[in-house]
Amino acid sequence: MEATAAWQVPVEAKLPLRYWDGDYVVYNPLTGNTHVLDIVAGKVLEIIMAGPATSAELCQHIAEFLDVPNDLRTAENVDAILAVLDRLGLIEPVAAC
Amino acid sequence: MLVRDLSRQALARRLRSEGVHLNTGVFTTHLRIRIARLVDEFAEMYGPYSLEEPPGIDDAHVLVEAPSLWHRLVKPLAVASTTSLAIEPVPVDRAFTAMETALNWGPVSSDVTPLIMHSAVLERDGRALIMPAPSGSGKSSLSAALAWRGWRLLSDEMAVFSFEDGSVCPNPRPVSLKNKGIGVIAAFEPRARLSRVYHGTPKGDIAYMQPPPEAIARAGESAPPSLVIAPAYAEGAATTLKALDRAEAFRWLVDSTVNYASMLRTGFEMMTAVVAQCGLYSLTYSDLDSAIHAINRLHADRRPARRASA
Repeated sequence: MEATAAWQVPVEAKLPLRYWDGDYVVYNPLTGNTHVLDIVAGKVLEIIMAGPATSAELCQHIAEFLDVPNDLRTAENVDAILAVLDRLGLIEPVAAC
Repeated sequence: MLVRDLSRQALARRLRSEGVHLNTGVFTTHLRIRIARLVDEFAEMYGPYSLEEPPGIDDAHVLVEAPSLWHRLVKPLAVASTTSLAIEPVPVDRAFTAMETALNWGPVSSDVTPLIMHSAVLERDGRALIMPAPSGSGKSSLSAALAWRGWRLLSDEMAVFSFEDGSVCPNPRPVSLKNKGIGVIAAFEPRARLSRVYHGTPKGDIAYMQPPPEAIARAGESAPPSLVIAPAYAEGAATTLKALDRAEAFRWLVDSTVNYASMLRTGFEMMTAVVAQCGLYSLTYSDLDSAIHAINRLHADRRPARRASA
């Protein structure tokens, strides 16, 4: 995944997100589905909900959050999470101007 | 007017012709019965329930009848149906069980329903205990026992959540006791009024317990959720309570609802509110008194919630 590509929540979606005991629960009003996310996927979504973020920025946040090196392994994990969130319709790429 | 205020003859005539509008709490069902022998069993179990007169808007329509002349005269069968579904025909001596199934499903299958969870619900001190559990978990025996030990029965079958404030609305219909649970409750509480035993149902033997008088008299009083407990009966097991992780409990509660998906975001908000405001536990038990004691301790340890009205 392109490290400079930015992600956002779909413009029309306001995602209700709850955090409990290490898990996130989110409702997607665009699909009507409810998803339970683990703490890292939930954190990625929470960051994107605060404003569009690139993969590189997300990797930085997650590395700090987990206190691990911001290396290739972190990038692969974040990319996998982004792919899942995208497939669930919870995030989308920011359209290039 | 209560069901028992009508003479046997008047009740039979009403049930056979225009039907009655049976109020069981949050739901009112337009009920017609065209099987003579079922009228006595209905009168016996539903005597203290009120009839809506003049009738308002019914939440469901239920008809119990023989499916055909052949099934009335030669091979007696009963079929109970609601507006949108017909319950599997049963031998006519089990017509009451078919009627109970239809009374459960009637309001649930209507187009406009509140959020409903398959669960027993009881109330104490203005706070509701919700017990979602699959069939065979001992839920009905435990809720029947609690209903005679200081808890008010709101329902043995469904938690009906108010859109207004998220409180649970009562619908205290007869408790369906199965197999060993029948004898257990008969021995546990001599005041319990049980129906005859219906043998050979898909769930084995079934008998119904009429809710205690207070449960029926206060069927208009809702209560905010305070405790969620998943009960599981296990032969010989010591009473064990285990706190549940909230996300896990959320998933399980949503799975226990009948119509969560159709509630869209409202359903999400209501279920997350239940998870946020309730103590969440699983309970393994084999002894009713010990299980009730454990539940009472949990209840006492929780801060009183604001009382909701119906």
